[in-house]
Amino acid sequence: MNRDKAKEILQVHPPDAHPNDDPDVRRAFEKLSEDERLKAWYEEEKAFDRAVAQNLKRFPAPSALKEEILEGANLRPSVVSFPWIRPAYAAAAAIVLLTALAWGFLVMDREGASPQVAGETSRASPEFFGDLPSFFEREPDYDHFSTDLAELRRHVRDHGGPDPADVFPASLETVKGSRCRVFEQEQKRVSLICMEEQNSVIHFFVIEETGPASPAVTRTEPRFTEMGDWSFADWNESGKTCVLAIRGSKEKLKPYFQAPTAGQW
Amino acid sequence: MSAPTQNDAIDFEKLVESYYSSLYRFAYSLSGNEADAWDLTQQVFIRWAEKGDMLRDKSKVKSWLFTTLYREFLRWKRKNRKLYSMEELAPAAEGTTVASEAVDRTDASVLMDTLTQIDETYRTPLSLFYLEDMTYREIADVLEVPTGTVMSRLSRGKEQLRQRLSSKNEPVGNGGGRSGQASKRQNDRKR
Repeated sequence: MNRDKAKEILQVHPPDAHPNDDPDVRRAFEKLSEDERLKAWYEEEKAFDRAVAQNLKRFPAPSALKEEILEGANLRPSVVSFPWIRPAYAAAAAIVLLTALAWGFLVMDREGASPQVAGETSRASPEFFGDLPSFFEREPDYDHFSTDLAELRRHVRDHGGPDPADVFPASLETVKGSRCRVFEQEQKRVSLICMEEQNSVIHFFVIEETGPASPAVTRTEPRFTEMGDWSFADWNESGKTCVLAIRGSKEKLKPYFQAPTAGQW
Repeated sequence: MSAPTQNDAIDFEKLVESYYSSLYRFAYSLSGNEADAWDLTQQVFIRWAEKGDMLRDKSKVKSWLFTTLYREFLRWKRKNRKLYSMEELAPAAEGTTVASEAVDRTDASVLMDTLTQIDETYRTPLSLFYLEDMTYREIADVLEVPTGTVMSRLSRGKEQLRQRLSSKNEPVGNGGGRSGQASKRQNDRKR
């Protein structure tokens, strides 16, 4: 091994690194004891490296960052709590949500929606809705991409997500698939399948068992909620909470719930 | 925190305590400003909360965190393509020497700012080399590039760093000009 080759190897080893099992590295370090000029160069090089490393490590990290991370994650390691939401934004979202929900309940009553039945309380939580607009804006990572809807459904099922098979809206069966993801929210597993139709992306969430399903009702009526640019429909079916989300008014969502199979809800 | 072994459960608070500073410094070296370094670091822990349990070999947590941060940075860069531009670097002079004593006297913020001016291609492995004492193999794992590529990028990155340090007009450690922007931003940031 010549001096230049040895320099090349020695240069990229951290200041306090020791020779490892790589024969080239071992030879380069051995050459140090044979070549005075190389040794002098190496000592100067590592002194420089050490000085740079020690100096850069003094660059301070803001302690408030740690607190914000811990607060945001609420010390729940495997639960997504959307900690990027700033308190002010969260408060505003909560106000909008509560107003929307109150208005929604009033409208539902006026439209003669079915009365609440036992077990129908298993809906998506206000927090879940509140987090969704931000969730979409952040362009979440997706686990798998495919235009094949069946493949996406299989993927979430095989990766620990709630199986969408028995709750998948019939009206979406022929829609083109796009991507999917499995994640956790409020300590519940969530499957998300995204589909595309007429330049719109339809997001279908299935949230795992949220409570005992009513024995009398296998599927509750969808509840429509508008929030900012987004509209949501949520319902409970077979003990799972389902949410359909789309950018636009809730009128865009309603067609997916028309003409259900007889006796479906 | 000692490095977790393969099957150790990871305590989130300890994880944050152990790595947030070094992740932040790495994020700063990539983004060049505190606000984005803050967000990138936070995003890494969000990713951990979402997907950390999928990491089977817990001894690879450090590598996972830095890889994730780097990916988040690439994503951030794509989204901010128009806004993201680092200063162009003059061609590096061959064989520039800078005494380690001069580096010792340099303010950490000045040195960090100098690092952020290096071409990103070379800056990323260089940051891991200096900030995390990673070997070129570990860097190759984090950046997901061949070891030979890391070696050449480290070599060029070091040369650029030397050239930057030596070409400063004012005495090293003066804190004038662009130097000291990092410390100013540190103080300016209100959270």
